[in-house]
Amino acid sequence: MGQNKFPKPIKKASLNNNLSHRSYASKIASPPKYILRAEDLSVGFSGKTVLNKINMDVAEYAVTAIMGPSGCGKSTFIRAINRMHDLDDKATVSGKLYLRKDDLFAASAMEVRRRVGMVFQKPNPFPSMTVAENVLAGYTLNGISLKRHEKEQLVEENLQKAALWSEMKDRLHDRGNFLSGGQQQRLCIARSLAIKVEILLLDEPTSALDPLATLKIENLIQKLKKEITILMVTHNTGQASRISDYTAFIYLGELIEYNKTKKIFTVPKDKRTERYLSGKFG
Amino acid sequence: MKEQGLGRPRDIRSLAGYGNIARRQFKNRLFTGLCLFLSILVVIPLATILVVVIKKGGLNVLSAGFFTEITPVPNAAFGTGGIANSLVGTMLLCVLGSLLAVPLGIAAGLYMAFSKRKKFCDSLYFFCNTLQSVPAIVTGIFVYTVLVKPFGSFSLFSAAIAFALVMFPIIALATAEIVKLCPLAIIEASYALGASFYKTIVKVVLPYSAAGIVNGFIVALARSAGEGAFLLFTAFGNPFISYSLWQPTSALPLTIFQFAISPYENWQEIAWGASFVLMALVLLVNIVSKLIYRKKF
Ligand SMILES: Nc1ncnc2c1ncn2[C@@H]1O[C@H](COP(=O)(O)OP(=O)(O)OP(=O)(O)O)[C@@H](O)[C@H]1O
Ligand SMILES: [Mg+2]
Repeated sequence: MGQNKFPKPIKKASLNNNLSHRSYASKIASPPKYILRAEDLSVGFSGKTVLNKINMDVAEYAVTAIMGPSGCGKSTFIRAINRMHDLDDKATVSGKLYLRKDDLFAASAMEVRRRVGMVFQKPNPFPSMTVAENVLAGYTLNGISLKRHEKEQLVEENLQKAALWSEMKDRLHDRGNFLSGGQQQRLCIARSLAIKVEILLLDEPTSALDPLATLKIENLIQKLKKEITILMVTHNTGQASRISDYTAFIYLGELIEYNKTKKIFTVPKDKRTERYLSGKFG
Repeated sequence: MKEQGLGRPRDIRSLAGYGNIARRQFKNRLFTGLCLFLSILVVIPLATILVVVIKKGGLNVLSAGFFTEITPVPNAAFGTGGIANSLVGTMLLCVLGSLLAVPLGIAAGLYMAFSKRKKFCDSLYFFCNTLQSVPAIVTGIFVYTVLVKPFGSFSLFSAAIAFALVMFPIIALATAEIVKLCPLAIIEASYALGASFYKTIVKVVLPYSAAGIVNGFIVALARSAGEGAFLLFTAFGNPFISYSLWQPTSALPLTIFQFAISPYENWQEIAWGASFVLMALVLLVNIVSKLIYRKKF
């Protein structure tokens, strides 16, 4: 089967098992079972710090929302997780990131990106590929050849997971960029799911979509969290409160508050969180 | 908001009766007419060339052996002999020149578009631009000096090198320009799936830019195949069909040049016929490239 063909991640650095030693900012709650941990993660562009010492654990099989005003560094944060900043010479990244026990900065970027999926704000299916080819793109692009029945199975399975199968089963050989925006975005999700990523990063996945398409994606995210961890950036506080289990609030590159979504929305500890949620800025 | 005198939009109602409509329409017509006149002025020479070439050369092509027979002896009867040797030469040049120029041109174009070594890229860009504007005859002399003289013989090989030198910068610059249009979003999508730079180029960027690159290739091919100047110093000409890399060879533009200035009337006829064939080929290639381009964009 396809999922066995990826090389096993090499365990380069293992995390100190005794987690209680870590000094947390008192207001940051650590979820009981986490899959991703950021330690003093900082990102700058040409010397200007954009993200300042983020410490955060992301819960496994849950939806974590990242909120904050425009330009506060949300995208910068999640792009650090799948090493997108490697592509930018101006970007400097420091601190630590662990996925399960693996140091993400010690592994190769390609290896990290095979385990950490990313869906972008603007749907970006590959225009030269069909719907089916888009779903299988992760395999093609990694030079993994599949048998015909493996392909068929992967396409159906992942389009099902992305709630796209019924709409797409007769259009598998259409070009991916002729779909509607919402369909394209779900196709991009299917593409990431197909390579069995462990955590899916979503950067404002619904901001380019209409309410109905947004609703479909929100339902999809709710369903997906049973088998995958989801970390999503959203501008929409309503969306965060509807679908996320944990919410992080970032302001000017700092993680201001991170807690169960219910707590954040009912009893925010920080003034700035409260003001953001009540629509005073951002 | 504070009102600013200059930037304030004029009241729409006041625009309705603004200026003399009849005069403005007259000026407009005058300008359109001028454009049309100048366009026709440009088309006249082109049309004349077409008509003359078709009239003088079109008939020759119809003669039985024009495509299959080689150069006739001087003063032979009209309708005997043909351009088979030049056609073979031009085809060989196209194939060999493309084999050299296409991979190198695409590679250089990709390099210019994606490399982070900006200084080197700028030099490469400058080099390609310069090479593109070097007159083909200078390319011919250059290849003559470094390849023909040392080897002691005109040859298909040296001609193919010169041919590729004309094609290379066109392909490289076209590739660089077209590949830069590939949206960052799909390049990032590819990396985000764990793809390497190489796979991203081969599976995402090149398919996206394929039509544009093919178009660049065809333009380069048409330009190089229609060029005669460098052939004088490299291919030299050959009255017989030659497949050897190391022998002189004939080619269409060369035949046209050499036969048109010859004193033999039957050769001059052949030159007209060859002109017709060459023009038809270049036109065909251009139309194909336009079709490919339109299909994609
Ligand atoms: N590639 C880059 N080069 C230079 N500066 C950058 C780059 N990417 C982001 N920045 C800067 O980093 C800051 C944070 O950007 P980021 O995209 O993370 O914000 P964001 O929280 O995602 O905002 P939005 O909600 O508008 O998407 C901004 O001030 C931005 O100008
Ligand atoms: Mg953003």
